[in-house]
Amino acid sequence: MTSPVIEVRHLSFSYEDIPILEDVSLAVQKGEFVALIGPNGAGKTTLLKIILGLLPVQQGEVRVFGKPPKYLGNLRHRIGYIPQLPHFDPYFPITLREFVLTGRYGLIGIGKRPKKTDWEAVENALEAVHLESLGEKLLGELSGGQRQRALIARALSTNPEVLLCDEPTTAVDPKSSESFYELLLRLKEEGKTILVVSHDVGVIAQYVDSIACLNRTLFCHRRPEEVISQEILEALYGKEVAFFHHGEIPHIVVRKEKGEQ
Amino acid sequence: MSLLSLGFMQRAIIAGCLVGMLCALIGVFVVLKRLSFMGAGISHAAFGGVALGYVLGIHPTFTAFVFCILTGLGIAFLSKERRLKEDTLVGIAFASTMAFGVFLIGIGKVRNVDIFGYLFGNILAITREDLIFASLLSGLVLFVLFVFYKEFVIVTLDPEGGKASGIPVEAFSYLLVTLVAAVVAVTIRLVGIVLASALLVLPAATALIRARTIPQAMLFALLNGIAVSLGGLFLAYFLNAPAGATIVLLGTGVFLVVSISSSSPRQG
Repeated sequence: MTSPVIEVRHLSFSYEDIPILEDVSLAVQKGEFVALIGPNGAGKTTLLKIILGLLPVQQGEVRVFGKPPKYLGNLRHRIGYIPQLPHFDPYFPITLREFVLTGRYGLIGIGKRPKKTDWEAVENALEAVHLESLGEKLLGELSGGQRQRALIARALSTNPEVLLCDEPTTAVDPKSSESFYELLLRLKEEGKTILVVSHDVGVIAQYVDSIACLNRTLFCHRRPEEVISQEILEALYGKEVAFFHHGEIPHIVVRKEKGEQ
Repeated sequence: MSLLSLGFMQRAIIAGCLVGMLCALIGVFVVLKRLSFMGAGISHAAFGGVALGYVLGIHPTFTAFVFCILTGLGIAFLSKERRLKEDTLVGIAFASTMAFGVFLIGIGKVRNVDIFGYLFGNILAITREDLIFASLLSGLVLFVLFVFYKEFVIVTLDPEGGKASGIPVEAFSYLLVTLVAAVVAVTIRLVGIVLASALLVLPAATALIRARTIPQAMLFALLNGIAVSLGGLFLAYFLNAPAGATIVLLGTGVFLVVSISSSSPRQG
């Protein structure tokens, strides 16, 4: 068996003495589509940022393509990062085409200008997300769903092997959210390895190969149908939540009213 | 005698063009990265630098330049490393560097210092050395902006994404603050310490109301910055009004007209 693309071993991380992650171990194999779920404040984004090299490895070990995130060098461009949508100022004066190009800035090199091949890569990325006709639109002129796809195009602009997505469907409507995951599924079928951070187990369970449950520590990483049992979800989100099942899939997770059975 | 044949007016016009251009270009990143208040803090720090220059017998523009850069970098460093709020640090730097200047002038028994000129600008005081300094700096700022344009874009748009793709975004953030400080140090000769930050923000903020892209915003801001600087100078001459204040008021007027006439104001 080949070594995992992403490997996290006994990782702990604290922020000003407040433990955020404790003894987390996780492996993502090549070509796998993994969801990292957990309640707000579970440390999901922190784990993603450590994998990306945005936060340091304080304790434990993290390997991406077999190397620590800090020393990835050019391998860094084989990772595509899709941040949360509200992360961006929607009125920033930039066209969609220029925005997608920013994904290649690291690859182009400091102080260097984009070449013809860079613009071709941008066009390919826009075609992959079906936004090729909107290249000259401003980021702020796109709908929520289109902006979401713009973020994927930006991540795809370096033709990465791995996609890391942080709560990608925050602030988009359910229909856009579904088409977003369908697009990710298509990319997985093309051979990409995908790790998606989400707090919405209901939607994502239909698309992924496995679900990793994180709430400060990682207490399970299994196939979706094994994870979506009442016991595991209660252990993850606490007893104060209720799950409404549509068939096998729990679609809504809400806080129970006081006194409600 | 023609207005343009006056030596001080010739120097003021050259300074107006250089300062208008520099403020406009760097101002686009200042407005987009929300560094406007930082610009105000840095410009006030110049007063401490000017006073230090007089006390030490060094050219005040040079000491103001160094003081502005150190203050800008100090604020940027402390807000990042010590997790202190940037507006708090600017608020402190604002007052303490002014106090330092007043203190030095007081104890140094410095006489014949044109304090009013430094605070509100004095076009009569623009020297040949100031122009040489401003020209050299303009060349340097233009060069850095041209070479590292895309790095400044990513630092402004998405520093985290830039860092994830291997760009040293912290270094470029510091470089941007250094450029802002350098531009402010030159600007104070024309419009003064108190009004310098306005010239840094106004042309760019006006341009960003209508501009669709950053290069377009830079072009609009450039035309606006030079027009406002020169227009303000001539207006001040004919009205016998202070040049710095007239330039800033003219810039504010243009900003108001553009923002009111625009149906969808954005960054301004």
